[in-house]
Amino acid sequence: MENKIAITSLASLLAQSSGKSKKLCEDFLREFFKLTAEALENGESLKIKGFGTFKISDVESRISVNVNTGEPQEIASHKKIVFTPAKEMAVAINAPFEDFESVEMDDEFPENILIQEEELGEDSDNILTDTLITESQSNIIDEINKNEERSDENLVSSQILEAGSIEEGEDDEITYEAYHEEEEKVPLESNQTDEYNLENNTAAFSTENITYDSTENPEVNSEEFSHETDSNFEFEEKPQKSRFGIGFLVGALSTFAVCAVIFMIGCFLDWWPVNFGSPKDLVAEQQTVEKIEPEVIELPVQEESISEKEPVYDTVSTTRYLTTIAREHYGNYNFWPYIYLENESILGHPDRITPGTKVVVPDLSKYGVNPSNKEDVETAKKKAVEIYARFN
Amino acid sequence: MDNKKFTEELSSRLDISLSSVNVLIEGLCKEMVTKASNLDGIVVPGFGSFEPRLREERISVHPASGKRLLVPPRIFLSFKASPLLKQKINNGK
Repeated sequence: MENKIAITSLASLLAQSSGKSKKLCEDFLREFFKLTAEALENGESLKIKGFGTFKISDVESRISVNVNTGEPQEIASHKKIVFTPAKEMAVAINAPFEDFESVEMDDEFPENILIQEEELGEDSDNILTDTLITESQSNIIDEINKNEERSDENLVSSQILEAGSIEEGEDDEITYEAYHEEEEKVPLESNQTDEYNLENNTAAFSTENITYDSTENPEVNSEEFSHETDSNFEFEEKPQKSRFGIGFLVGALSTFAVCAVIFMIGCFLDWWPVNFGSPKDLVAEQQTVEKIEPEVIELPVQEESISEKEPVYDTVSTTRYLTTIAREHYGNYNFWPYIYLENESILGHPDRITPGTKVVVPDLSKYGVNPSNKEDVETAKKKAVEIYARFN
Repeated sequence: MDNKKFTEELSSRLDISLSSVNVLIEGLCKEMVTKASNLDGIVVPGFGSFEPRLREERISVHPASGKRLLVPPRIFLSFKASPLLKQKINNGK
């Protein structure tokens, strides 16, 4: 794998999947990227639904060292393109790993387990990169494709689970497929934990698997079942990886069980929609995070001073700081102290502003400074130091 | 430029309906996801390349609780603009 794919082959794939003519698809792709480039050339940012966002961001000039001569040189300020994949896309790309989650490790875990994990990591790489070599591995690709076909459904369900696991930690992302990938690495005959003492053979293990997944997609399940039995002989070849596999699986399963319980209780008591909104809302919410635009709110005193500019408001959030707001409004993040000074009465430490705080974004002419003036940038930096000094 | 303006512009340039533009964009996303999941990059001449990058699983320490966590592997889709596009952007100030 790790091939580079040219636009023509992408067009033929697109033609197959969409049922349009190949020529149209090729024209479409060319026009798509041409239009994107044009928008970017005009300095516009571009948001394409389901695909991602292209933004132009300024890079300030900085002093660097020439690697060959060792002489300092200045890298001039320039613009660069930042691409952020859409949330749906980022999730779908990670479909092979969707079911993994951050697992807490026992403190008594021996250090040398790290080496085993590295081996495991390489294995999972091989699964990714050499997938089509063996039959059992090609099944994984089938799984991935299936997964994408029902990505909508999957996305919603993963959102639900995420909502359920909020209490457990924000990093947790739980879905299903990875269990199966993990199970391949588990030698089923050597179960050690209480959970599996009762079901000490492959059949029992797989039935649990079926009951667990049957709510999602029974067809896929039956395939996975056969796939498991197919690849049983592989387990015996990798005995040294068994412990880690079981630990990981047990961790993942127990976390899932806890999440499922929380989720079901949530549904049952009917507080879930109140707290988290419906899954669709959740999806929508995540999509709109980037859409927060500076709001302009009219004040009642407007009649007195029509010539004066209306105050501009903006909201601080976990991803928008004063610096972000300053960069958007003034074009330079260094000017955030002026926003801070304007809102001094409601703000405490500049790094500990409560998300959701609404701040007034003052017009810089009020302070007699100009973002394009280098001296003013220095003044702004000094002001920032002063503000921080207040809290020391 | 937002999504609506973008799709409208595309449909008028290609002389096809808005709905088929949406179908094509959706299809393009699906194809890219398939390719990216297999760690295949997509190269568009004169525009740039989309390269999926695999971040290996690793063990990190939770800063608050001090517990060791096994962080699963992840694929990131990164975009690298072509020199031509970079040049165009910086000249068109």
